[in-house]
Amino acid sequence: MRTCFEATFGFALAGALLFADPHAALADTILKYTPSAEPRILDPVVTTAAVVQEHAYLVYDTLISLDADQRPQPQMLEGWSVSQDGRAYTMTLRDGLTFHDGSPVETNDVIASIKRWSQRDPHGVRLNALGMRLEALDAKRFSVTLDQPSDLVLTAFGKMSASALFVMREEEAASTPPTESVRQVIGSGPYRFVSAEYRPGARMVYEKFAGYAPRKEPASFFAGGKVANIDRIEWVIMPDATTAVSALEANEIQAYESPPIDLLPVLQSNPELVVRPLGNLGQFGYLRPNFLHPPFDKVEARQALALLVDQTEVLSVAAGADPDNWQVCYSFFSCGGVNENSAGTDGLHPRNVEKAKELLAQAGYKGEPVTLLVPGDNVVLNAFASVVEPRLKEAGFNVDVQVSDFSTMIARRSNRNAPGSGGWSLFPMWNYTFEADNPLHAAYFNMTCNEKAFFGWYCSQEIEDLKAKWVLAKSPDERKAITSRIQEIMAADLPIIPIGKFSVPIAFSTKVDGLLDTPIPVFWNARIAD
Amino acid sequence: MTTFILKRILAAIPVMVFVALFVFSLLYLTPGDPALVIAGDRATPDEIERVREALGLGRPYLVRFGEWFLAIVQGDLGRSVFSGVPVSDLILQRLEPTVSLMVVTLAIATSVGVPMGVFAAWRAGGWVDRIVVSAAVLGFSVPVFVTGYALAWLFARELQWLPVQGYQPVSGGFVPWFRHLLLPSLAVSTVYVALIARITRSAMLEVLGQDYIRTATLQRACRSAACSTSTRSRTPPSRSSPSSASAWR
Repeated sequence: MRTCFEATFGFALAGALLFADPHAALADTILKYTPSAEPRILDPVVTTAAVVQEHAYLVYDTLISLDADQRPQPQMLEGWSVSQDGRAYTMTLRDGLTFHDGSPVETNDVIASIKRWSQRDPHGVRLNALGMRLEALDAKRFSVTLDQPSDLVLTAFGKMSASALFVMREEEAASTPPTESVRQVIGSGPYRFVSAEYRPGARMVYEKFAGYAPRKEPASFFAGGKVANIDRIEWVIMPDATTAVSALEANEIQAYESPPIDLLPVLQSNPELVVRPLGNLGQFGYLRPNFLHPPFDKVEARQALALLVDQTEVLSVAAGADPDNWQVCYSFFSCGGVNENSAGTDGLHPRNVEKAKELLAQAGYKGEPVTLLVPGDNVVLNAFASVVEPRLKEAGFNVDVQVSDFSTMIARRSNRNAPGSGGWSLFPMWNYTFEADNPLHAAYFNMTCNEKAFFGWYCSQEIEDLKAKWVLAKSPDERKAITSRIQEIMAADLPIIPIGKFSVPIAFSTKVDGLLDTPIPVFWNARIAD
Repeated sequence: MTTFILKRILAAIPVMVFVALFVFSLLYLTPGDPALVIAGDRATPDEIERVREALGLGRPYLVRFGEWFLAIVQGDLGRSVFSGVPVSDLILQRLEPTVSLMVVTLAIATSVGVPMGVFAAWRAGGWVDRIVVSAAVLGFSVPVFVTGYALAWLFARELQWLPVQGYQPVSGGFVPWFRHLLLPSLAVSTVYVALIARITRSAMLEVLGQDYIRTATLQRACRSAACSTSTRSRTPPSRSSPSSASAWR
């Protein structure tokens, strides 16, 4: 009898050891998600990479967030008041805000976070240029005072990304320079980062933070209540797209951020998967010419380039044949945004190869090599370049295609030498459309007339002066007039050639419910259906 | 003996220094810029430069090499410039999966490759031999990632017997650990199975052609009931005598 009992117990123990799932008892619901890339850096102040912003939205919280109508709403704040002269804001934190280590969120943490963030972020830098001063009035209230009245404070504090203002502990924010990553990821967001289970290159784990107090309002875009319904979120890093698609179909992961376009039909035919873009903001593609060297130092050559780009052709290759996934758009500001404006761009389309040849001749083009940088490992940018290249050759450009990985392309674009000496002439890029919603945001709006300008080194002091006026504008109409003027100048000078708007769908299991239509996937509000 | 050991250790030192120089220099030769990766693709040149300065990436080569080498000899592998995690921790994290994959791959490669080679040699020239040789050629020719995709498609997606991806530590149970390792090990082992099968086959053929094997074969044949005195009289003499040696030529 005893022997029988011992044998049974032994078998049970062996079975438990053999088949044990270490996570089975830890959480009720688990979502396994594969992001578009691995976040190499976990600090949203140090890097502008979108996937790091995704990570940050899980573990940190923001003072202000944008709702579905793109209006700033209090998030960590109870509210704010503005002085009569419009220079001073008094902001009050909500009750019950707690960091993941149990310490309360106080104004010292907020002020340290703002100071650190404002040294890197373009909006923050503008606020500092306006003489921003921060003062803690007590543990929950603080003031933000500017030398001149501007509502840039709300725009800056509530911006969605790159970089959003995430609140960190004073311990990290005050002691870590903005060019170095914080060593500990401790926020006050709806999920806490489980650093003990972090495996760089393989896995990142987030667990629901029981101490998080969501707002009472329903979730609306990045605003409202951030209710964490899913207990545990595991980011499974899978650089190989085919493996990720297979894992999604086998339900080993439940969501995959950016499946390759050529595999979309496979996923779309699976009744257990949903494949759709999140929301309608999407991304905005463009070509960036180099203003330092021929031929694109001449406006006629840039006009020729613009006349060779057929947005429908490019977008259907980059974003798929389904026209619901893309939109032809010639605005330099975000398509579908409040500043969308196609003024001055009528001459950029439709494609006209003969006119392009004439313009190239007017530019005095002598056959100089046009070095086109192509990131072969980036599906969308590779598609942009592959469609544009033959069109350039058709018009007589002497194209020298330089294919590399994305990191190498990023490195090379900082090279100011001539194309034949390690430099470049043209590279493709995209931004989230919300990054092009105002003239401070997207990198290509950096038009300072020095080496700090965005790669390509287009210089427009007039636009820089208009940006300064935009910051101080007193009304939406005044701002609109300024952005219209900026659009006109850009349409004439062509610092970028717009390729249009597109959306890369996310694929997820039908069991995942409640994913918000945010351009960056966020997982509060989502749940796993039984 | 002691002198020999000391000499060997001393001889290894310049080799280690050369290897260290070579490995460190590879960082300069490989494309990419850590500062750019850290700063993000939308960073301005000014921001990238600040990150580069903060990481000390702009310092002279010899200064950086000296610091790195001194740290290495003290066992300090430093921290990742990206994640901030100690490099030794990163290596340890990968040790178990790497060793697991290596062990299972070797087990498969030897347990499949050796018998394949033996069978092929035993039936040299026959259809078994041809199948094994063809399989070995395929094993060499087909890229591992293609084999991996095919195995994942068949066993993970179609039959759903095994997982597509992922690793389970052995502390989480032997069966989950082995199930996650099986497909990648099979894919990686194909080249080694092919190699071991070919080498085993060649070695076996050489051995099977040896005189002592022929002798053993004949002796075994003569012990069978079909073997008559006439067969015994036609058995060639032993090779050990000079006359027998000339008879065998």
